[in-house]
Amino acid sequence: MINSINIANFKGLSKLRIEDVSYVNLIGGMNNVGKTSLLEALFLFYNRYNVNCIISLYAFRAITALANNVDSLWSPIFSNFDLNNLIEISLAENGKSNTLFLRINKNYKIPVQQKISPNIITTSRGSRAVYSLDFTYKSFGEKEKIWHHVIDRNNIASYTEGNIEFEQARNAYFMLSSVKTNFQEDAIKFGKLDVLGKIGRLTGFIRDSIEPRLIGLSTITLESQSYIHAQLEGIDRKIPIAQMGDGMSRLISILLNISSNENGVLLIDEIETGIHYTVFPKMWNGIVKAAKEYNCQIFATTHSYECLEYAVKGVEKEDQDSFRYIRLDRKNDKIVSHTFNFEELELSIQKKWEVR
Amino acid sequence: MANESITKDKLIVCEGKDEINFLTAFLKNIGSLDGYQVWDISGVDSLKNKLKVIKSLPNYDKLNTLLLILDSDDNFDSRLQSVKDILKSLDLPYPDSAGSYKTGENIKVGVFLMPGNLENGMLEDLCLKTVTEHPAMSCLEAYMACLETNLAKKNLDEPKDPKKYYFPKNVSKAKALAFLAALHEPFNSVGIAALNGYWDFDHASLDDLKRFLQNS
Repeated sequence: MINSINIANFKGLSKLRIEDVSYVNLIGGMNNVGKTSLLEALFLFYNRYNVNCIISLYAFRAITALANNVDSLWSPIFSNFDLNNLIEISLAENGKSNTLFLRINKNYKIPVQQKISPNIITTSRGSRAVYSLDFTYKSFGEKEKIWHHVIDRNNIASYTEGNIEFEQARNAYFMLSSVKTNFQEDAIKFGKLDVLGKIGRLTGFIRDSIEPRLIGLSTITLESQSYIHAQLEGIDRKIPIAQMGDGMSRLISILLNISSNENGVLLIDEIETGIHYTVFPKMWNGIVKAAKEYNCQIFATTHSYECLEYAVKGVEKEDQDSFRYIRLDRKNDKIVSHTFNFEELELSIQKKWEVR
Repeated sequence: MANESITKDKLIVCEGKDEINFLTAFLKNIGSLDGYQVWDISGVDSLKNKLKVIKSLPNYDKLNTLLLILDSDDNFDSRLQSVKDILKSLDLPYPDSAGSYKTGENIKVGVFLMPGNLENGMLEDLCLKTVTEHPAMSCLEAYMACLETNLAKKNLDEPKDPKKYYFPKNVSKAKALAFLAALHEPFNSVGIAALNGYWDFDHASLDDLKRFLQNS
């Protein structure tokens, strides 16, 4: 589990330290303070070995077309678009510090492999220096790993420095703020859980936290598409969850993503989107319980005061220690964080002190 | 009601609604109300948590002065020491004595313990000190003496005997309410009485508090 976070020079986060992180972390703060950038930094950290990790960040922001060059692909991830900066994303996980560094190398020479015989391959360096985005991963007590991303004519190529073994990073999934749930993706995740016999627990969570009438869930293929359907008490036929309203389908999607992301990290942008505030207490109760049950750590951004207010009403006593509210503030050029534990958030809400 | 945000550069934290009303009326009387915000922290329980939250609120950095106006209750020395310990643990500057300030790197912090003058007690005691010359006071003293004679005193750890009639456990509050009951227009709180001008804000017993606020 992540205990603390240090970020430097990533997007608007020139320097940020967050302490005392727990299972469910709600991130607040003014517009343009870097809430979504924090989620992106965590996504990048855990998806570091994916050659498309940077491209994915643009997709989250609905940027679908980019020029295939250093300036448009890489400069936006550096503070002030300055390619001379060194990006650092450092997480203390269970007391162990792991750090990802990203920097621009203006003088990288691509390795060229030559097959001399069926068993002998020689590697030499190309003569032309190119720009590379260098990734360095330092895990406490282990040898550092270095790899390079180079923009090719049509895609991004990755070259490792020496023979390195990429360990399995924790799975981190990013849920966008858009109201519309990706029903196909959810149906696939549901199917995977079903194969593993894990649907019963998920159904229990949804029934206990959101929809007490829920008898069961199943995927049904209609035409060429699969959809999750719900069987509800008192209704003869199964209902596609896509038809149960934006709020309900998003809530089910969140719980599905938690349960299919065991031991992972779930990053949710603007968690309140599409959800009526009266459902927030149940939502928080279900999310915190599911996060603990599946050991899935959650970082969710919000602009909504009701979201905070009803978290205080919804999270049960036994789960309160697993909840944090983290507000980001801009102070001069830096972003500073303030972590509120449950008791502190509850006090602020009771006293009607503005915490956003 | 909209949430309260830090909007001024001086923030007074006090223990309850009565204190807010009293301090609001008193600040108005000395012509300084505009410069302050007065917040109620609902008693001194969990004072450390409450101050930690205030330190984490938006705009806290814009505060110049944080004033803690609390009750001494039954032990002035231990209350002052515990407040100083809490301020220290939160990396806030802490004054050596009550009624004074300490300026730190980012903020100035002052502590005033009611009723002032290094005494044990609370807001109600300070209010009553301002009306010692009121004719009802002699009746009040006689009334309290009568209660003392006729009612049983209960120790904290002693179980309550339903057949016994006990002396008020908070003498200061009992006296203040008895005084308010004797007014032409009765009030049931010292704060509302303050807003209605029933305490003598020019009385010498308020000089310490006035000086404390003016030095902020």
